[in-house]
Amino acid sequence: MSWWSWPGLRGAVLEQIPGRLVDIGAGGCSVETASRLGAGTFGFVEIEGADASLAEVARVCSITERPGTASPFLVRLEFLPIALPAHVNADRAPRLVAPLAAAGEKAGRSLTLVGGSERTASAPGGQVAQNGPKDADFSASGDQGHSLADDLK
Amino acid sequence: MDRRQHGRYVLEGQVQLQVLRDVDIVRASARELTVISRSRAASGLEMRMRITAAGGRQATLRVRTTRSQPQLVGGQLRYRLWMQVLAQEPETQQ
Repeated sequence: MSWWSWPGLRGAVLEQIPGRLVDIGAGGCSVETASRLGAGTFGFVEIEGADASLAEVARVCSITERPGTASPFLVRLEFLPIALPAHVNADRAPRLVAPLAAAGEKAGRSLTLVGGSERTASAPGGQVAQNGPKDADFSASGDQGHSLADDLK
Repeated sequence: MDRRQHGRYVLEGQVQLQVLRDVDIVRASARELTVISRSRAASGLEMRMRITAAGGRQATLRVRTTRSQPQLVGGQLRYRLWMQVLAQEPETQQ
């Protein structure tokens, strides 16, 4: 059975957005972008520094809009404790969409993040930061139960 | 509430964000997809699309936007995108 004849088709596109790093910590980073991202948007962040680079699965925590600037959106990202597959390296983009989709399913809406470098999804010692707003969503679509296609029918 | 629990460091660096954005599939065939998206896409733009369906079926496609048209859906601005299906990528093992 070909993919286009599967029942209940849903789709997600992998979009690439360039940005500039503002600050970074163990749990996340802030990035200036020219594109608006919704809180809860789930993705992958690759940071190229002067002497090191970093690649993490991340989720948008909040956005500050700064009208009139070259990069009008300050995006705060939270790193998620989800490992990328080992083979995802230099040739990352072509293989990323499947791991990202799988990681998004694992992350769900109520993932918690613990402090320290050994990040796990559990919460020892109460050092838990609840991530994302309550309406945060795997891909920031906002209304998962209601399809836009339904409105078109 | 301050959610930050770690020190922050100001660093210079270039960042590449890759995000998955949901689209609603209006029409699908072996060669073409029509979707409704929250963001516009330039004609000729190539990207990857993740297709999921009932029963856990999944596919990853390479697609190229051939046409983009703004459209109001439920009073909100959306974009109808026509996409040419270039190839279906093999699934990687997790």
